[in-house]
Amino acid sequence: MDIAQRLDAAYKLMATEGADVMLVASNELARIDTVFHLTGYRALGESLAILARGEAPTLIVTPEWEISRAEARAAGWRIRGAEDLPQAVEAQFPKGLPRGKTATAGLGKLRAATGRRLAAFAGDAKTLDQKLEAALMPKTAAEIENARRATAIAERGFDRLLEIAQPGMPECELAVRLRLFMEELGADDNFFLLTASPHNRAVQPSSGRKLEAGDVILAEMTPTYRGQLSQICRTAAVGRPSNVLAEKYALVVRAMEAGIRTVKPGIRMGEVAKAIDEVLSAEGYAEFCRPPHIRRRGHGLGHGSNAPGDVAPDNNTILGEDMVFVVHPNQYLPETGYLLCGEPVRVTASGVEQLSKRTAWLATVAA
Amino acid sequence: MEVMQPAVLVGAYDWDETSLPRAEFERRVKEVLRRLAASGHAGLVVYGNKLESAALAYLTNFTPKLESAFALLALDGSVRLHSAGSPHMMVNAQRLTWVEGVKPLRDAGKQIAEWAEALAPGPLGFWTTEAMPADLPPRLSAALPARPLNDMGARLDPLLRAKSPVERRLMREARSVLARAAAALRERFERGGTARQAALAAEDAANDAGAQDVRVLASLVAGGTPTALDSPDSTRLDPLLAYIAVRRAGYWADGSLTLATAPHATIERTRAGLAAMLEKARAGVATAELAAIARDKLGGMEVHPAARKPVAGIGLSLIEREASPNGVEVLEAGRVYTLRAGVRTGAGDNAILSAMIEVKPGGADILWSALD
Repeated sequence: MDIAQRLDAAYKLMATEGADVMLVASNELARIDTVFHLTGYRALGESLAILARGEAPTLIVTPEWEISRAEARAAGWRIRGAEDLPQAVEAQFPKGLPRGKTATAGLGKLRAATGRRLAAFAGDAKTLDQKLEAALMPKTAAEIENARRATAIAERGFDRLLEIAQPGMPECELAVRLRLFMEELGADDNFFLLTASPHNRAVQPSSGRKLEAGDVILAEMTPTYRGQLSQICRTAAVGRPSNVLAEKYALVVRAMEAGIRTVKPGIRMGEVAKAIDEVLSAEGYAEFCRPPHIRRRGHGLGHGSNAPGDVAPDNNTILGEDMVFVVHPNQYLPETGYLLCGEPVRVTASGVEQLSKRTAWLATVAA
Repeated sequence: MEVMQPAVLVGAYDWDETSLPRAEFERRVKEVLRRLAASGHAGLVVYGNKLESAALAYLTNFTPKLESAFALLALDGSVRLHSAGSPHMMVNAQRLTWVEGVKPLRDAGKQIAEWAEALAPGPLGFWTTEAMPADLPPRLSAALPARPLNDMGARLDPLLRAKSPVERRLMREARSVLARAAAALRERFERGGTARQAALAAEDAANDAGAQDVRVLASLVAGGTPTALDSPDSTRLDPLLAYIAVRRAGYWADGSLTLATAPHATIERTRAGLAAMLEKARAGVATAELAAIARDKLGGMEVHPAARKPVAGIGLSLIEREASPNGVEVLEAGRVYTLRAGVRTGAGDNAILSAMIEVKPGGADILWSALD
C-alpha cells in the first residue's frame, strides 16, 4: 500500500458506510494519529482532514502558522491554516454537513471544548474511528523502510547506553542524554521508558533515582523516524550479573525467539503469544504468563495505527505480509524481577523478518 | 507558541522539596479550598495530562510523564492522586509529588464516584475540564448522576497567573536555562550549522543547564516560520527562525529568535517593534496598545500570525489560560509574560522575536530578550 491507496481506502469506507463527507480529527496527544496516517502531517496543534466525495481532500491545521509544514508534508491536499478549528470547519460547509451522510473519526479525542463544538456541528454523523483505522492499517513501503531506520537508531541508542551509564547517574539524566543522542541520529520522537532497580516490577518513565551497582536497567527504546515507530526492549546489569539473572534472561530470550519463529502470514496473532507462554510455562512460570503479571507480549508499531494490535492470546487478527510489530515477552520472574527483551519484526510473504540486527542479550554496565 | 508534544516526558520531574517547599503547596491547597467552599462545592477534581498539567502541578507538583492523572481534593484538605499506569508503575509516579499513596487510574468515573461518596452533598468542581478529551466529561457526568459538575476555571485560573515569590524565583531559573539554550543555538548558527544542528545544540545546552524539558522549533526553509523538526533532513538556513521553550521545576520560559548573517528589513522592523513594546510594558498597559505600538514600527508589513496576540502569560503553562477568550487584555503586576513581535512578507521572509518580562507595580523586569 502507498499513501494514495490509503486515501482510496478511506473513500471506499465512506462509500460502504454511505457517507458523502468524513471529518477525521487529531491533535498533539493522539497516540493513534489518523490524520498523520492519511496525510503524512503530524499534528502540532489540532488538525482535521475533510474527505468529501468528488472534491479534493482538505487538511485544516492549527495554529495558522503551521500551514507551511502542512504544505510540505501533505502532498496533494488543500491546506487551510486556522486559529479556531471548529470555526474553520464550519466555514468549509456554509450550508452545514449533509444530514445522514456524514461520518467522523477522532472527534472524541480532541480537547473537550473543540470536540464538543465539532460534534455539535456534525450532528447525527456516524462515528467510524475503528473502521477507519482498520481500513488504513497496511504499512506503506516507506513506513516499513522508516521502521528499519528507527530500529537501527534504537540499537545504536542502546549501544550508547552501555557506553555512558554508570553508578551515580540519575535514570532521567541517562534517558535525556540517550533521547538527544537518538535525535542526533534522526529520531523525531521517542516513546522511551528507562528504569532501574535491583528487582524491577515494571518498566516506567524515568525518575531521579540514581543507578547503583546491582541494578538491572530496563530500557524500552522506541524512536520514531519520519513518524514511524520501532521498538527494541533491552536489559543491562550494573556490574557482574548473577548466575540466576543470566539463566533467567536466557530463558526469556528463548521464549521470545519461539514467538518470533511462529510469525508467518495466515496465523492468528494470538499464536505468537501462545508460543512465548509455552516456553515459560514449561519452566514453571505459567502463573506469570497471565494478568496481573502480563497482559501482552508485544504490540503493533505506528503513530497512525497500532495494527495488528497486541501480541496477546485473545488477538484473533490474522497476520498478513508487511505487518510490523514488536515481540516482547517482557516477563516478571520472582527470582529476578521484570526483564525486558523485544525485537521488531515484519511479516514477510513466507515468514518473518527481524528488523533489529542483534537479538537482545543480557548486557552489562561497569559498576 | 504551540510546540510538538513528545510521546513520553523523560526529564527530571521528581518533586524536589528544596526547590518547591511543602509549605508552598499547603498555601495553594488552602486557598483553593477556600474558594471551593465559598462557591458551595463539596470537592474538587483536577485533571492533567502531559500537554496541560498546570493546575495539577500547581496543587501536587505532579506532571504526568506518560498519559493523564486526576487529583481529588476534599474540603477537609485531604488529597488523592490517581495516575495512568499499572500498580507497579506507581513507584516512579510517587516520586513526582508530595501527595502520599499515588494510585493507578483505572476507570476515572468509577474512582471519582467512589471518592465522592464520602463527601458532603453538593456539586463537584472540575479544574482543567477543557483539556480533557471530548469523550471524557460525558462519561464522568454519567458516573456522578447526583452531583452537578461545574468548571472552576474562572474562579481558580487566576491563582495560576499571579506568581508567588517562590514561583518568580523558579521562573528566573527557567529563563537562565533559556538564555543558555538560546546562546548555544545562536553560536551553532554562527558557526555554519544547519537548522537541525542548531536546534540540537540548544536542546543539549538546556539539558546541561538543568532543564527538565526542552522543545525547539526551527525553520524548514530559509526565513520560514519555525515549526517542528519532524524530519532528519536539514540544511543550512539563513535567516533561521527558531523558537525555544524550556521547563524547569514545572515552570516554562520561552523565546523566539531570528538569526541572519546579512541585514533584513523584516528583522530590523521586528526588532523595532519588540523594543517599542518593551519600552512601554508596565502594569495597567493594554495589550491592544502594545500591539498598536509594535504595528507602527513594522512599516506596513503584515503582522506574523504567531504575533497577532503579542502578549501571552507564561508559567506552569507555556501559554496561560486567560479570563478573556481574546487572551491577555491588560498587563498585571505579579505576572510573567512573553511579548512577541513578528512580520510575514512571504513564505521565506518572516521574522519573529520575543522577550520575557516580569511585571511589577512600577515597571517591568526583562527576564530574557531576543534583542540582547
